[in-house]
Amino acid sequence: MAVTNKKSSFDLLSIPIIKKFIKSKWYPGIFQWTVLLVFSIIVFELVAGTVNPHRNFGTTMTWVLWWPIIPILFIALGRFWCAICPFGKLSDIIRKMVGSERPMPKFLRKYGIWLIDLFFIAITYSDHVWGIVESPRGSGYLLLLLVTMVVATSVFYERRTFCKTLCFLGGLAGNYSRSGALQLRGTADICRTCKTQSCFKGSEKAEGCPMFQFVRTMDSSAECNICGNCVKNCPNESIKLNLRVPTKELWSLKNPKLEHASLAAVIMGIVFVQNITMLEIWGQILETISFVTGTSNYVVNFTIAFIISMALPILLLLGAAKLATILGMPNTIKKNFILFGYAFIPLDLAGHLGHNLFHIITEGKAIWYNSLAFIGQEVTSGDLSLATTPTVQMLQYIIITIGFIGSSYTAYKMGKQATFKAMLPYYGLMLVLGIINIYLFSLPMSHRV
Amino acid sequence: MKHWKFALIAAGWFLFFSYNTAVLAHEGEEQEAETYLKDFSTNEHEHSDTEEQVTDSHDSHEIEDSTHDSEDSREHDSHETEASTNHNHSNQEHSESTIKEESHDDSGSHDQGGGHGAFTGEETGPNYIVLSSIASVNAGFLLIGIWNRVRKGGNYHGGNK
Repeated sequence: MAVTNKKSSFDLLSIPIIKKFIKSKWYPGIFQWTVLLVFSIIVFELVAGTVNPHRNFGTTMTWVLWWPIIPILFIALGRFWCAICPFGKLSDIIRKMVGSERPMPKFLRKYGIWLIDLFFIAITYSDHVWGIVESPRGSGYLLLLLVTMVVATSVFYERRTFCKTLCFLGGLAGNYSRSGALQLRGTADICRTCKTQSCFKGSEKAEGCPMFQFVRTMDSSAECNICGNCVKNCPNESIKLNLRVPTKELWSLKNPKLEHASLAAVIMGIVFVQNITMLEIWGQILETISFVTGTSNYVVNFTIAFIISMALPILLLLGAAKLATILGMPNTIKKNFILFGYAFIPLDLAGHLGHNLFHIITEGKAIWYNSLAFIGQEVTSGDLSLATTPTVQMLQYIIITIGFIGSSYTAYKMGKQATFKAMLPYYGLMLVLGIINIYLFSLPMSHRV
Repeated sequence: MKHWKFALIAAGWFLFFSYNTAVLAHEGEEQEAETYLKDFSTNEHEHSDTEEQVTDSHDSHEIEDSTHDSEDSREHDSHETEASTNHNHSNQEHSESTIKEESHDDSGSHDQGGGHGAFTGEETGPNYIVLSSIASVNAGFLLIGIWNRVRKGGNYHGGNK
């Protein structure tokens, strides 16, 4: 039984207006249709608008606005974005109209999270090789490719199979939401005696959980979209939407998995890649690699840098797990690797947020200018920055420091039975990663638009 | 205890704003450095070819290094201009796109093609071949869905509403 009956955390559903809104047919539909409308405009602009990324409304809205605010949404509201995501809504519409509602294939159930990890890495890689972010057409085709995947899975399979097993953002969303400030759970005493199980099966009020979750056994926010279907369906008023201390879920994981821990480490590598390729030293790094490989082919040299960046955090984590085991940490190296991999998540979040903060602050006014241009207003001139680079850097340092504290505290809570000596490799690793992030942020970075 | 917290927060905000005030005081100098480097990087780029781009960016980095004696704030912005140049070099060299960026205006202005890099590429219309291919594939899947519905007489599998 993974439900909660603690009364200490604040339940948002105890506020009548919020409960009434979530139970109404307007939630999450009003957000979904709005986002779907904006998404359609963005895709149209990307594939048919100007090819100048600095002027393209779609590029600005996607990469300067949406991508930077995504981690903030996950921290504040868990996977709420997934509830209102245009791909998710499209999936709902197609399933309702022409869906076969077959059960999710066993292959996807078993290896879905690995596919998510793979897609996330592949998209990041292809962005660097083909310049998707800098190309409005490239971004548009990427979105249309995702639309095709949504259509294909929704025509055949039940619920949100795409979101659960294929969406490239799913792994990231799951990991970040684990350290989010919002959790949806049932009330233990009520769920124990429930016979309807309508949160999972659905009712005439709403369909069952689109993410295949059963509230009675749900012990993580990683796959809860806060779509409110269970709130609508539950006949016993069992559901609670609690505020919690960020990262709290990570402190006592019941079923840690290798794929999640690996993704957490890989995200750190991806943040490094994103940072390094936008830095002045990137040219020197490429030059060094080309000296070793003997070729000036960018794809070859970038691939090597990419693989090293992905592998580095994994190897460091593995090294820390081995060292910790030698120093007296209980459990095997593998178990320690998996468990403490989750401790990366707050630092991942901080790195991701810090990187994107630079873009949203130094290029933020592009959102305003391109939106004005989109509605036909002539934009004469203007500075794109909302603050100076040193201000952004200071904010980045603060965010990384918070991430470091979050990760170290998470590791501390995870290793409650371990001695300080056994925990030292993990604290050291977090410190090293924090310093690397701060160092990278201290270097000048180029812009997206 | 509350006083301590208040004092800590106040000290934090004081440091934050005093730091930024110092930065703003040197804004004019930043502009000069920025203009200088912008002009320099544009001139540098005019006589570079694709094969020499990595070398070029390295050379300009060396020259750019000579400005390191200047104040921190100036240094950050001059680096930033250079970083932008490097990034655009990479894109130019490796993108299959026909877009070419000839100058690297990092002034942050949004006019004249705007943004952080001037754009002088050719505007192209939508690629109808790609779009119609994607549309066909999606239409195909939707037709399969309709066919499944018709074949099963609307009674599809699954108890989920």
